Amino acid sequence: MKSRNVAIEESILVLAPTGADGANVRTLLANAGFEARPCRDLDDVCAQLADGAGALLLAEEALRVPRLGALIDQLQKQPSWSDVPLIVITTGGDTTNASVRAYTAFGPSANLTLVERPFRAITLISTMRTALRSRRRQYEVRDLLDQLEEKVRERTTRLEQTVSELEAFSYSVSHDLRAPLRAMRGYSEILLQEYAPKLDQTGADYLKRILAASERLDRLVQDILRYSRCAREKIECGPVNLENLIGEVVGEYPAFHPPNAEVVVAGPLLPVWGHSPSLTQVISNLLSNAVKFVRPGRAPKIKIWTEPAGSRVRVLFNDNGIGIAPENFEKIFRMFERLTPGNQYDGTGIGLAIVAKAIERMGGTLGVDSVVGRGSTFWFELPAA
Amino acid sequence: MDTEGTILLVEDNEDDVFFMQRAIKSVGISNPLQVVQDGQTAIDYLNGSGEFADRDKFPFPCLVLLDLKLPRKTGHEVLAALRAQKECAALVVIALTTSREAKDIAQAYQLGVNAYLVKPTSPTQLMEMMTAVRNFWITYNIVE
Repeated sequence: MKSRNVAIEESILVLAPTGADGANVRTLLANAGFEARPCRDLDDVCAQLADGAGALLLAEEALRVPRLGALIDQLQKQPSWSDVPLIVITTGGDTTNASVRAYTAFGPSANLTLVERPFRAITLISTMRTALRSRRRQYEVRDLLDQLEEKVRERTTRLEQTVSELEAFSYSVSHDLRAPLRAMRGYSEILLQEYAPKLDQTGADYLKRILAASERLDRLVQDILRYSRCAREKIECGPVNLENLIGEVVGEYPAFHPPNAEVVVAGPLLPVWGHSPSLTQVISNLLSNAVKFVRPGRAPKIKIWTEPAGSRVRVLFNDNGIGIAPENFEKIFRMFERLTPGNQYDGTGIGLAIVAKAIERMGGTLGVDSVVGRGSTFWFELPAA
Repeated sequence: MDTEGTILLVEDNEDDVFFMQRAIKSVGISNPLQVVQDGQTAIDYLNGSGEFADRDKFPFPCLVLLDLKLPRKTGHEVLAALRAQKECAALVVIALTTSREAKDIAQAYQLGVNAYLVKPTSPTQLMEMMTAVRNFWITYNIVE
């Protein structure tokens, strides 16, 4: 926090005409115990005000210069906590309208109080005291705001640290789980290959169950790692040609080819602004779900197309799967949420969480429309490229 | 084609050593295999220091399979150390690790790794991978 000069913040900047009047005002303030800082001219007022001040006390005569605009400008540009009190001594009486002139000159920009001559000492003193009191409160608000900001900064830093430590922890735990898992999986596979003749039916069956369980656990750990990478790794976005990307994903996995499935790209697809590796993951996870969650015996069919959506592009994946009830639309994107019971559909419950995280990190949005039994349409929106 | 050259496996996990030995044998790689279990020993082996001075017993390898998470010196440190030496400039080093972290991958390539492979979870997949390694790095790749 910046160091505060309390003396400056309690002082009054005085610009009074020379001569008896000015001297009177200064004596009066000094006798009342105020700290007055005399100013040469309006420019000097502006310069000293920048360092801080409790209040401004100006004689109306001193304002009749073209430089008044600079002061008004400075008053308008005060920070939100600040509204420095401005007291202007004017010549009263019916003959002149100095008060009106001063009042009009500042308009709504100033925290203005007018004191008309002739005034009693006590009038000016009480006015200055009120002004300084309210100014003190403003400085208190400023200090509180500063403290608050400082606190927010500290806490944010701490939170960020904790989050990144937790992420690193979950990553290294998941990572370390894989080594023994690889051994379990590896040895059961070898056992099954090389010792099959020595095992009876039941023994082989148990072994297959161990193998299947270790494969499941491995998929789970790999998905957690994928999610963790997706949440932590740096993402640099650029234009992505979806048609190429989808072609690559479909080409890579036999599960997305006929006769296993039919993926129809209703091109041309609009290019999006995204991170190509993340989008590959997103598309592959969405397609995996689409081919997985179909009624037994039914061939999965997926249609992909894009629609312009303002400055964004919506990418849609329509399937002929089992569909999702509306109350579950939000649930499915959460970690470990699985809606289908037991072993009916194999999965880790992380696939869509990875999709949601990846889309979020690319600054996009996503959602789903579905009717149970009639298929689902998953969509995401990214900036147009 | 270098079927004589020694393959140096730098791997601290005994199970992974076993799976690799088995995969190498299964896919018909006849090159002799030497195994060291930490990064410092790998550097010593390549330098031919200490017991490794006997190059008849511990020949300079034609291929290094390097795990990255290793005791004493990490795989990255081994890479940095060996690429700093003239004799090891053309040595084929393949990172073989469980890490898919972008940071690990980028660092390995910066330090001059020839290829970066992620350990498969099943012995069958490992055999497929080693078939590819044999075909490319042992059969077709030319070093000198």
